[in-house]
Amino acid sequence: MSDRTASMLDSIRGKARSWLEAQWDPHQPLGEWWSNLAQSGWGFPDFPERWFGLGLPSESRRIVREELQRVGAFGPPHGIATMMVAPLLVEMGTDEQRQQWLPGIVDGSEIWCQLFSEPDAGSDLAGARTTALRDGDVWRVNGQKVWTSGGHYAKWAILVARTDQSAPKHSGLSFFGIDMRQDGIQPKSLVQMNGSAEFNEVFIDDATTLHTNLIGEEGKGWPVALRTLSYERESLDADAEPGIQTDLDLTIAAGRYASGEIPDGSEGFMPGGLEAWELLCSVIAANDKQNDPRIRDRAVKVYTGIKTSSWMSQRFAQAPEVGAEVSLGKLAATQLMRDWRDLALTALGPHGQLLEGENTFDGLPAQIALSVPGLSIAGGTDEIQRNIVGERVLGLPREPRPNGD
Amino acid sequence: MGDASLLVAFINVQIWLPTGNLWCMSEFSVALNDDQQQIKDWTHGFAEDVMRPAAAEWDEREEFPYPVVQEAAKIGLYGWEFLMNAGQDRTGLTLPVAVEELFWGDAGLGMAIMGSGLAAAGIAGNGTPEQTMEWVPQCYGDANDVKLGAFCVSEPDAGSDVSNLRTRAVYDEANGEWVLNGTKAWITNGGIADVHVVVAAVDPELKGRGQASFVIPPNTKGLSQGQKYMKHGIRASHTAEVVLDDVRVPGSCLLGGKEKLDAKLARAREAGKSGAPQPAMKTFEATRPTVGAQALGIARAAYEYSLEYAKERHAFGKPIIMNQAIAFKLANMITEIDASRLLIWRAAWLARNGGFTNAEGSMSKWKASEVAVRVTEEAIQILGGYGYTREYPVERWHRDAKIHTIFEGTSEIQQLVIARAISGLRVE
Ligand SMILES: Cc1cc2nc3c(=O)[nH]c(=O)nc-3n(C[C@H](O)[C@H](O)[C@H](O)COP(=O)(O)OP(=O)(O)OC[C@H]3O[C@@H](n4cnc5c(N)ncnc54)[C@H](O)[C@@H]3O)c2cc1C
Ligand SMILES: Cc1cc2nc3c(=O)[nH]c(=O)nc-3n(C[C@H](O)[C@H](O)[C@H](O)COP(=O)(O)OP(=O)(O)OC[C@H]3O[C@@H](n4cnc5c(N)ncnc54)[C@H](O)[C@@H]3O)c2cc1C
Repeated sequence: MSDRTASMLDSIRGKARSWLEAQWDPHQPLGEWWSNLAQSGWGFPDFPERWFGLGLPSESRRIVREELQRVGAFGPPHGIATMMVAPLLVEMGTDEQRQQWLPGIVDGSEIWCQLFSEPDAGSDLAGARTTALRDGDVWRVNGQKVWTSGGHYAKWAILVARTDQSAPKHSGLSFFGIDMRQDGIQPKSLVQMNGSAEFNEVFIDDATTLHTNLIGEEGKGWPVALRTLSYERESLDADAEPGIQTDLDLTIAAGRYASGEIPDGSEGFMPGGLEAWELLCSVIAANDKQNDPRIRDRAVKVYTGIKTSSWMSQRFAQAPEVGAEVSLGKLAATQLMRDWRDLALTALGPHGQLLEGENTFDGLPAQIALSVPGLSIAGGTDEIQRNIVGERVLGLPREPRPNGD
Repeated sequence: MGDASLLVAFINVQIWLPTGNLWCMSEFSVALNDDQQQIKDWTHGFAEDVMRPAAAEWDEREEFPYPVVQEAAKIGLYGWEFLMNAGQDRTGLTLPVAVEELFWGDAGLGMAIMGSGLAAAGIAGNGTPEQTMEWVPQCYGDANDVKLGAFCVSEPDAGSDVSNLRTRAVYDEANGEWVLNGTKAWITNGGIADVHVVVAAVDPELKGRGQASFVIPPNTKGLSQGQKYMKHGIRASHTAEVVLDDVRVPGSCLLGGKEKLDAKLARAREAGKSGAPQPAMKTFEATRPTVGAQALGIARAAYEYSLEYAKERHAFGKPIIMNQAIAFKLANMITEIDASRLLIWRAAWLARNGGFTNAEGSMSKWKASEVAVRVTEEAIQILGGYGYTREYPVERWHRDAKIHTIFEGTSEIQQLVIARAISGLRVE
């Protein structure tokens, strides 16, 4: 890092700190606090100034996150909307779309979900069969989606649908924003391995969305979807904030979320970055294993993983553009979480099998163990990430595609 | 209830003890004989028809599955006669073969069926023939009135290291009674069992050699259930603390009898603090291949399911198994599963034919339990999003697998046992 960059980052930190110290008030209702953050630009400092940001480099996010933690403030909304939809709109949306959607995203009043995967099209997303047919000013949508996280409380969704049946697979798709709160859209919860029911099957029966909600051009939805997925992968690294925002009550004091008194959607997820390391150390110490050489050896491996992962994501944040390399970050994160889990469960012995009770750390390691397998599947499986790395990072020959598409 | 002469036979041919000398050695073969094959088919039928359909429900309910255990009792699968018959197989393979099938059906229900066996083994392994005849049948009851047994060794502060038990047994000369106090942790069927077998320290100074096993008869005052553990896996199997608060039992409840205990204590005092095997450990070492077989059953279930899935599921215009990333996973899974089974069968055979030399029982349990964890996790990965939901059974198999790396000696303890056996040194 050059001296200039370093001093720029220091100055960002200073400004963020003084703003937060002056503005953070734990008694303020969450909705007001989030609006305040959004209006000031400190919620999403890397967004353009015109769109609720400060036009700062993406590393500013990490700095602001550290400063938020320092004053004990609750962070900005965090979910599919902020990780994927907002950057996409900034990059590819129309001004009309940005005006329509960004305010509700940055102040957390409107939750988004992702209607991509289908029962027969997960890894092979381009095989999606849900259709959208033009009918005057609107598109009529029919089909079924699955694994839709947050579909039961989302206000909006991003949708991949087939708009041209006759075109080759990848060219017949279009990308839309669509209102989830309409009769034609019925989410049905699915219970996950960890016992929670965060994702859904979504049945779409003659739902409609305005033509102006088409993001990108008609028939050019595939590159938009790929772009969105790379934002998703970028945000699934080991530094990422845990979990995603659920339908939080915006009238409750922000401080009660910040203190963990009220669940905020991050429960049961591995904390990001060094917090994960600290938790692991507490687990090891509580079980009196800090002097066990085998445990220490594995702990060092986890620590190394956390640090390299974190440096890797900082490097991506500094890169002028996100590319296929983000798949490396996601792969590193899923492996790291497995190592973390295996070590925590070894240290805990039978207590690692319990979701409550003494020496279970409120069941957190057990919950993490039940969530870890999902991370190697969500947002593109490990195998698909490796294919991407092989083809797009290493430049290996492409996998043969049977339909030549 | 039962035929006493058969039970005496059971004592003689207990599968739990290396009894090779009593019989001529049997041939080791990986081809099952007719009897073994028949038992395999029979347990498989029960696993497929009764256990599989009930598995998700009992996992969800997280309570003891009496109706399923009763079904098992009706066909003679739950009962000491079954264990005894298995024990008569001189190759030792019958039990692991049957257990693999049961756990292929479901691990939680399988544990519910197998749980009483540990208590029965504790009694048969340490008790006199009379005690065995009296108490082992009471660990099972019959199909009309199912009874349970619980084997209580672990304590909150003595899990892996059972030589330092805090539960005390003190002899009350005046009444000829033993008085037990302490808390046992992680006990299968703890508190809901009819017969509890409790290992307690009589002379704590002597560590493992100062311990003895006691039968606590049904409805004994002072024995109660502490917290019930809400677990990740094998949720149909009940696990709880057992609290012993001035529990008084007649002298006849000391397994093996007082004379034998006094002699053992005297020998131990003479020899000083020795690290010779303790009663609990003896039970554990010989039951390890069976625990390995439990893990093996789970792993095989996950492997079979994901293999079928990988052949059916299409992505990018072809079955996903046509990707080496998936096909090689499956190749790896079956190779590890078969390797585990061979280790288990060898250990089970050795347990009946000459005994272990390099802790082969521990090897089999360690390998199979670790394989089960990895294989079930790979199975989730092969099923993708479906694998991560409770609508498909593979996530449950993964939850069920992990416990096998922990109970009856964690993976670390197995490695310790093996390391000591191969080196002859007391590796700490
Ligand atoms: C917790 C969680 C949350 C999710 N949230 C959402 C969401 O909000 N919105 C949404 O749209 N989706 C969501 N998903 C779905 C997720 O994106 C898909 O599950 C994932 O893309 C895999 O698709 P699939 O489940 O259909 O598996 P499949 O595509 O059927 O894959 C099955 C197996 O085959 C492998 N495979 C497939 N193709 C290849 C290949 N070419 N080479 C090698 N291996 C291959 C896969 O890696 C996998 O192991 C979520 C999933 C999870 C687990
Ligand atoms: C010491 C030595 C002695 C030998 N002696 C003899 C001999 O006496 N006579 C004789 O005929 N040969 C002999 N060989 C040759 C040996 O059999 C070949 O090296 C071997 O079969 C591999 O072939 P290759 O070297 O052409 O590697 P390749 O076939 O080019 O393989 C390169 C790599 O690609 C992998 N690979 C190849 N195909 C696939 C696939 N379909 N899927 C996934 N991965 C794949 C391989 O696993 C390997 O990692 C000897 C080799 C050695 C090292």
